[in-house]
Amino acid sequence: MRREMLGGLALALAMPLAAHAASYTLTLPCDALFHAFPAGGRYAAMLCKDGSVPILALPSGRKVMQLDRPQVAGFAFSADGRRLAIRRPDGRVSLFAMNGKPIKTFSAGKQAGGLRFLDDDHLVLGRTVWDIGTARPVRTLQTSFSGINALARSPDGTQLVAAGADTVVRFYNSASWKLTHRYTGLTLEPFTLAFTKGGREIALGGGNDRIVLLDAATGEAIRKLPRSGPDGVYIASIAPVGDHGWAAVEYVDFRTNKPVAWRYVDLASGTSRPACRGAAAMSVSGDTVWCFHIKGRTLTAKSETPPHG
Amino acid sequence: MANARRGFLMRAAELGLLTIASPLALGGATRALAGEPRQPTPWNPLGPFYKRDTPHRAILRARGDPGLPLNVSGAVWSTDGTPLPGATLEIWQANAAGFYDMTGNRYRATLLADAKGGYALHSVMPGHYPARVCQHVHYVVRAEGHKPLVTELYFATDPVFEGDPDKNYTRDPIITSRALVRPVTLSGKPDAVAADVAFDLVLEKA
Repeated sequence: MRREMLGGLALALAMPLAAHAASYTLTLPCDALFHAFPAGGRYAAMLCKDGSVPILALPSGRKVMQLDRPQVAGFAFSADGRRLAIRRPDGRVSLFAMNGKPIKTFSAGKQAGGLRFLDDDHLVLGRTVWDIGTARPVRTLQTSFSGINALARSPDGTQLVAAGADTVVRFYNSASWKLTHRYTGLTLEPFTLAFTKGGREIALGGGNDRIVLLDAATGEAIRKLPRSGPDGVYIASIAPVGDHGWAAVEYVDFRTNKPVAWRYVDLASGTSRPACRGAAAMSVSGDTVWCFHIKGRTLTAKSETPPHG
Repeated sequence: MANARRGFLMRAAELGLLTIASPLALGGATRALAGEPRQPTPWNPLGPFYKRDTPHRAILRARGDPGLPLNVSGAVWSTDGTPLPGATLEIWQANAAGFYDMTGNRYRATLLADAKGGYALHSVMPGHYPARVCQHVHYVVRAEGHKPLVTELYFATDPVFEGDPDKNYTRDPIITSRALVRPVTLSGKPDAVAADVAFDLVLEKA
C-alpha cells in the first residue's frame, strides 16, 4: 500500500495534473468543518474551525489562497476548476485565478441565493445571471418562489436548464433567453442536474431520491431509474463520468446534511455499484473519479475508473 | 417524561417565555391592528424539502403522535394593513423526533386563509435535527398581487436560546430576524398541555 502511494505520489509530481496519479496523501493545514473539491481534482477548499478558508492545490497541498470567513458569504469554482468566485457580505463579487491573482471585483447587491458559475463568461447569483466581462446583470431566471438549485448549459451552448426550488425545471434558449419548455413532474426539490449523452438527455436528482432522465429537446421525462441510494438520503450531485453512460452520484443524509454514500449509476438501466467507499468527498475529472478520504488532518486521494459495461 | 416536560414549561413561564393566556385575547389583539401599515415578514431560506401539492388540511398531528401538541394561528396581511383572504399557505416541518417525511405527506399541509385572512393549524412541536440548530416550521405564502413569502417560524422556548432569544437567536445562523422567533403560550389542562403560537404573515405587493 505504501509502495503504491509513494509510486502514485511520484507520478503525480512528474505530471502536471492530479488526474494522472493513482493516489496520494497530504497533510491539511487545519481541522476543517467542511471541505469542497471542485471538478477536475486540482484544488480543495476547506472551512477551518478558526473561520479561515484555505484553498489548496492538489496533489501538492500548496496553499494558493487564504480567505477569512467574515469576508466570505459564499464561493464557487468554475467548471474547469481554474477560477474562484467569492461573494462578500457587502454584496461584492470577486474573481480570482487559482494562483491567487485577482481578476475582477464588482458589486452585485445584497442578493439572497447561491453563487455559481454558469460558464466561463457568466456567474449566477441567486436567480440573476451576471455577465463577468461587463459586470452587469443580464437576466433573472424564472421561479415561482425562492431560488435556483441547479443550473447547466448544454455541451453545444445552445440551451440552459435551471432546476428551481419550486420543483420546476425550466429550459431556456441560451441566445434569446426565451423559456422554451418546462418539466413539472417532480414533487420534491431537485438539487442537481447534468447533461448526458452528448447533450441529448438531462439527469435530475434531489429530494425524490430517484434519478429522472429528461429529453433535452422536449423537456419530457424519458425514464425514472429505480432507487439506488440508502434510506433517508437525497441526491446532492450527479456527475457524468466520461462518455460511457455512467454517472457518479452523491447521496446525502437529510438529517445531518453530510454525504453518506456514492454510487456509479448506469443512466440507461439504473444499475448501480458502490463508488468511493468510505470517502468524505469525490471529484470527477473526465474518465477518472477522485475519492478523498479525510482522517484528522490527513487527506488521502485515490482515483477510480467506473465500470464501462 | 411528563413531569420533566411540565417542569421545563414552568421554568420557561418564570423566565417570561411562556404566558398563560386565553387564545381569544391573542386573536383579538391581532385583529385590532387591521388597516395599519405593517412591515413585511422577514425572509428565510426555503429548504429543505419543499414538496408541492400537499393535502389541504389544518390538522397535521395524528392521534397518538408523540410530541408537544402545537397550535399555530394568525392572519395573512398585505403591507398596507389589509387582510388577504384566500392566501395560500404551504407548511411543512419535521416530526417531534426531527424527521421529515420524504415519501408521504406527514406534517405537510396546504391551507387557505379564511375570509378575514386568518389561518390555524394543529401539529406538534418539531424536533431538532443535526443539520439545523433550532426547531422550526417552514412556510411558503402566496396571495394574488403580492410577492411570494418564503419564511420560517421559530420558538422562543427553544432550548438553544437558553431563555434569552433576544440575545441568542443568532445562534442559528439561518435566523435573520428576531421577529421570526415567536413566544409560546400554554393552553389546555395541566395533564394535556398544548403550545399556542401566534404567527402573522405580511406580504409585500408585487
